[in-house]
Amino acid sequence: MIKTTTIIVLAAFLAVSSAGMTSVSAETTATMPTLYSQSGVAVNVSTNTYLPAGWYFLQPGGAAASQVYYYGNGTFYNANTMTYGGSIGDPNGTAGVVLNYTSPVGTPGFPNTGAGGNSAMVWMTLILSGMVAVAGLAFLASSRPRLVLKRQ
Amino acid sequence: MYSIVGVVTVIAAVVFVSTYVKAVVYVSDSGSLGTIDVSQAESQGYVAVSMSTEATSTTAAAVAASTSAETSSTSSHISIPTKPKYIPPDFPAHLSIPSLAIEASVQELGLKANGDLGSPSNFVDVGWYAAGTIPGKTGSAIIDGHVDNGLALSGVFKHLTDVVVGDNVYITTHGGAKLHFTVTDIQSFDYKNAPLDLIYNQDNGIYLKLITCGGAWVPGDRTYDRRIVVTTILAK
Repeated sequence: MIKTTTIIVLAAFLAVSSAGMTSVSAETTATMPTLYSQSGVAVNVSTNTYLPAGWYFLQPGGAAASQVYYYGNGTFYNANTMTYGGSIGDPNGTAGVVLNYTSPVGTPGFPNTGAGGNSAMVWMTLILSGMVAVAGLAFLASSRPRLVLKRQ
Repeated sequence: MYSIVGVVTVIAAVVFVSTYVKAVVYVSDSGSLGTIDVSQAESQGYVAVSMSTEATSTTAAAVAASTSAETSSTSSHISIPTKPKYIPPDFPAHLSIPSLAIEASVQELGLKANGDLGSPSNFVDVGWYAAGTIPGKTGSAIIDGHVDNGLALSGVFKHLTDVVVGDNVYITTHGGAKLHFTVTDIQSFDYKNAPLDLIYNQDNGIYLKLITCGGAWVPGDRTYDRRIVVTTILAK
């Protein structure tokens, strides 16, 4: 009786311990999600298929909230969560491959949205090149060689 | 003599046309869609390189092929195509600022190789940071536009600093929805020293931020030394 009880208790202890270990490992790893086309077809379930870059969805149905951009090299970007996913170590982007996961998007630098500071040089280039082109055309038009046909 | 003049004329004409196109029509180095440097992103931890042992053996060849393909390519950058085949309905299509008489189409932008946000490919459209917040969602949606072109003629955001708090800004999405934002703040920042994290990542509301250049020209960097940031918030 005592021996049976001890075995049951030990088995239960081992079962609980195993479950705990599994859940811990599941929390620290992630897998490449299945990507769906706009028509709801899973597109990255084969290990041998190259998935072209483009827009795909994390869930069938084509909802904007699940849309991601796949770069064609195993990685994708989710603008809704501002996170990257996938791995270039899995260049086919195969669903189910275990990965270490994403980091938030780095903050971009400012854009360069001005060009007029160099306008003086640009204007000068336009004027000079325009004058040369017009003068050259005028010269060519006024002094084009005359073709003389000689009778054989 | 005739042929020499002809060659000079052709060269002059090419110079004229290319200078005009670049200065007025099309911004060739803007990167209307930017690129993301894979190696730079990896150093920032954005791309994982480890994978499970059972996957290693089956994809070892693929990894080698991918590595060689990436190193042998002319560019290590990943490009976002100009127009995705499917455009989500909540992506912005049109920007309107009635007080400034601005009506502009919205291009999608990414990051340039140096990590800066790209800018529109012409001087009449605006650009939306497509890897950031979608207008109307919580966070800071970013839209930029040129202040001027190569001839110092006005760009779409030439008069952006003329907005006042309370002015209306509208975004029309590809799905036809019209989002109404109200100007809450106009700020000017040094182009090399600004709270970029606050500007791009403010997420305690639904913001739309408009960015353009200002200040004095810096010849060495071929840019202006200030950035104008107009903050708007979704009107209730």
